[in-house]
Amino acid sequence: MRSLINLPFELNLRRRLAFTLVEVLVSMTVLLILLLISAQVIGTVQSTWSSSNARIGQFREARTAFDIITRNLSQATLNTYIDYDHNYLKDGQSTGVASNKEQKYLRKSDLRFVCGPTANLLTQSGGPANSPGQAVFFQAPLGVAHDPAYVGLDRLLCGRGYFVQYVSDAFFRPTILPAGLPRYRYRLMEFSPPAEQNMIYSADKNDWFEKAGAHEVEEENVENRDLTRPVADNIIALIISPQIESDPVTQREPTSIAPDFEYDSQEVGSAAGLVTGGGIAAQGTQHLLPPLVRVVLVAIDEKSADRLSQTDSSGTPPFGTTISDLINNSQAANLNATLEQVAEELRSRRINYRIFSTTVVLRGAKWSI
Amino acid sequence: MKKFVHFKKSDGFTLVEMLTVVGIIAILIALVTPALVDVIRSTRLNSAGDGLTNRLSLAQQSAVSLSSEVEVRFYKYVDSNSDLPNQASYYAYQVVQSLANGTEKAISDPYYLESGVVISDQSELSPLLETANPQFESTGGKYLFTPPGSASSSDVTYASLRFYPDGSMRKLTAGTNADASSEEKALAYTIPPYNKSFVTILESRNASNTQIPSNYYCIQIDSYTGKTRVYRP
Repeated sequence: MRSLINLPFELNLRRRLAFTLVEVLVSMTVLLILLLISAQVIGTVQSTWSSSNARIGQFREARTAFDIITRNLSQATLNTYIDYDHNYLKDGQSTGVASNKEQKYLRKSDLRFVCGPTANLLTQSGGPANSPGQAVFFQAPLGVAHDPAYVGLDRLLCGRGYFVQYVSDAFFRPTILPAGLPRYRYRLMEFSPPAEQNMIYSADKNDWFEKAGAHEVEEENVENRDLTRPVADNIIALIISPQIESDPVTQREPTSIAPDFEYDSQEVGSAAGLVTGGGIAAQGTQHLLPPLVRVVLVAIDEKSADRLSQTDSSGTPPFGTTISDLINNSQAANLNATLEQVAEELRSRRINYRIFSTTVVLRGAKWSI
Repeated sequence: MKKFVHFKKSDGFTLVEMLTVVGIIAILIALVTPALVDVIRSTRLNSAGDGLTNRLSLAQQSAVSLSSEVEVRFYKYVDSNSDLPNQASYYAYQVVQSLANGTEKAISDPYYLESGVVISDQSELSPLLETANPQFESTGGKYLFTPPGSASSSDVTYASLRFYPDGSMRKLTAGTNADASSEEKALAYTIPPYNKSFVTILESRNASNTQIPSNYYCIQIDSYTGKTRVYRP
């Protein structure tokens, strides 16, 4: 009786005491497969998560920078006034002037709004490969001052400029930090001299902005410190296109005031159909702010930028002149097609990008032609 | 009977088996602990740094939205309960609004850094905080900030970053006294150069370092736009 009861119990016990090799192998294989699958799923989720996080963070920074540009650009001013034409006085006894009476009025301004390819405006910015796209420099009541006594004077006239440059972080990174590899990035730079250092009235008309592209690495003196700082990283191009409202009467294209993106308020506007007659009409766009400015930013995400910069750490711009050629060879009238080409180039390099575009109304523009 | 003995024998673990398992567990723990401690440390530093970064930009936004001057004050005092009971360090910061009539109003409670973390008071690591002034007594004989523990309010010194309604930032660079005019107080704030415009958060065991330690959280502030940029190892 006892052995009859014991027999199945014993058998049962025997079976429980150990797994056979086959059982262990099978269970391990199943476990391994499960682990592999879950590792793969987790890996995919994690990489999607981090890349979308990086995109969100990056494009948030780009949007903030875009807001800064558009807000400040809309305050640009020329403070234009109408005055007698005194040119005959400069000529001394110029021929053909019968009397010393002023004969006509002219539009005048001491300030300046200038935009065009960065490499042309800023000779020290490292050429078109290092500074793709366009730069804009203008005067606006932005109230930046170093002197503490000027705090609260928030309408002080300041120079301001924006451009994109491929630079390392060496000139602004705190020197106390361990020197890693210099991080080269395309950065949107803001040139922001304080009101005390606004050199708009100096004899050389480019004096007030031409040093914007050169960065002094170590500058102890606050007054003479480097006046250009990055406002956003990984912006590969800034495009500034001055425009007018399209007018059915004159049949002028919106981009006709700056067909090549170049606009200088101190030059007589050479654009077709704008210089007519004599007097003020002969001045074209001289001393006028463009009424509208289209601002385009091309931003890429940090992950792509990191990948790009690793191809060459010595500071050679990864795009070379590809992007800047696309922009410089284009006409303002077909900017959208150019942007599509830039996007195509970025897609072919598998880079995450976003293009920000808006048209800013310059409140100070008193457009009259 | 033989079977029964066999059953008995396999019923428990032997001492050797137990020792082996415990040994393996001990080795594993010994291997993992240093890594884990590092992770905990850097998380602590990160959360303190993220908190400070967020509150700096909050203060900047408050300055813009209140159209008023808003300061972030960093309080330096001796805390007998901390890791460094004999040394004055920056343990707390607070957002304070400067009202038009010259009085100051706290718009946040003081934020205390977690234990084991301090903001460096060395001018090499935190050039923004190199000037520390004693706290003023306000009209009611009260101080804006009362430190915890045994330190008294009058022993607290503070460094300050002031944000302006246009979003810009200046740092306190001159000592002023309680009866200074508002003009004098305004002149005490100057714009730091961008590459000297940062504060560093460290572990308290590195508090007197003048060189950057292996674990740090460095916040750089652009004084024109108030924008922050973070550096970490």
